[in-house]
Amino acid sequence: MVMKLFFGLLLLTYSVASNGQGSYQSGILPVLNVNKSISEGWSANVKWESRQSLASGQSLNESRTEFRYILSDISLITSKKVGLNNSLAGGYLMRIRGDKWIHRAIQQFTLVKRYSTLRLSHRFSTDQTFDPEELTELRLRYRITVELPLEGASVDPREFYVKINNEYLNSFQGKTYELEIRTVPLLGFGFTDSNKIEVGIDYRADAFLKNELSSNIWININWFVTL
Amino acid sequence: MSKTFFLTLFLFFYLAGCAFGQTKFEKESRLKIRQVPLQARLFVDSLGFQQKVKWYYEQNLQGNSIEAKFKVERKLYSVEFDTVGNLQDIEIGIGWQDMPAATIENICTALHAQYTSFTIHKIQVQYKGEPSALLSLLNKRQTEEPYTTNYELIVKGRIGRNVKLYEITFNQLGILTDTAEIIFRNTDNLQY
Repeated sequence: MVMKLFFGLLLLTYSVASNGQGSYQSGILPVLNVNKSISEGWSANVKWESRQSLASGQSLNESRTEFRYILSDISLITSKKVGLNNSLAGGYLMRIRGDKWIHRAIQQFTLVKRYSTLRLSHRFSTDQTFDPEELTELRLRYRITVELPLEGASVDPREFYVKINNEYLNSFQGKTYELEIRTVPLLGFGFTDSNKIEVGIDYRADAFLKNELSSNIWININWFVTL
Repeated sequence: MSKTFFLTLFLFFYLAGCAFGQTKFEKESRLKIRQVPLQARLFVDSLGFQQKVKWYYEQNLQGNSIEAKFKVERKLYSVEFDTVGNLQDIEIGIGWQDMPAATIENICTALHAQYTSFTIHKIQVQYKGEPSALLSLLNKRQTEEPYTTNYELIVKGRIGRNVKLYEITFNQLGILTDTAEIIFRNTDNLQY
């Protein structure tokens, strides 16, 4: 049932992404997440994310295939547990694109709900991007994530699971407003509770408010490690 | 190039080694009906409920067990057996209204004494005894044979500024017999 849902969503995501009329970019998005508990209730997250383009174009008919490194993001976020299921976090991200460095401040609140056969997480976050050549960009984000075990009632060591992210990003830059929507169906495997790998499609759609749909389709590979 | 490669390789094995070293062994997996010991199947069949039964095999450090889970009249039943099918206990999700008033009073007194504030998330009644006693108890709601009743509560308790989730066991009279802190599974992949 869960696998049918996952493959259904994967197909739907791929079909929406590949039928888009506007410009698109696709590639690989590997992410390494390293987490470490610092003291009672406090933890740190170091994330490295790299984007490689495989194809891009103004439409699918005019696509150009090429392997091209685009950018790397490195972030450090400190998190404090503020309740049984909630945590507040804040940190800094550095984006390295060619010889240009872009800085971003991040603040987030996460709520994780546990049900008998799934886990649901709500993430509310804001970030401010400082690019020397552009106006400061402010984003308000909301992400809902569901994690469904494929065996038993919870994700145990050496078991597969399905994780689905849906995120809405409101961007304000000068007088312009943009909405980006992300849908990310992932198939995960937990080697242990503190070592998990997830693979899936990260589909991002924006500019549709201006009738100029821009799609980004990434093959997403996430590795989560807790030290 | 080779320096970067070996550094990446070192990082991979270091991270993998650190993460694997902290594992607590606990695993629950679904069982097909044909994999369930006959004795356990017969006992659940004899309860006479028509609901769909889900079977699980649970492995942990305390020992392995087989569990049948099903819902009757919006109450969750969990019947636990050992690996050869001997009945261990029966747990049923209940509400305050299903408990004797004196037991509720004792439980509330104990929780008020233990925690600055608390919220009860779940209540289960646990029956232990011979299969014939528990069968009669569930079918006829009474039995002449001896059996034990315990209440397991999942409680969110605050002590000072610390909020934690506990599994607290009370006996039939509402006297506290055991408290265990519930350790949550890692949520990093839901947070970042």
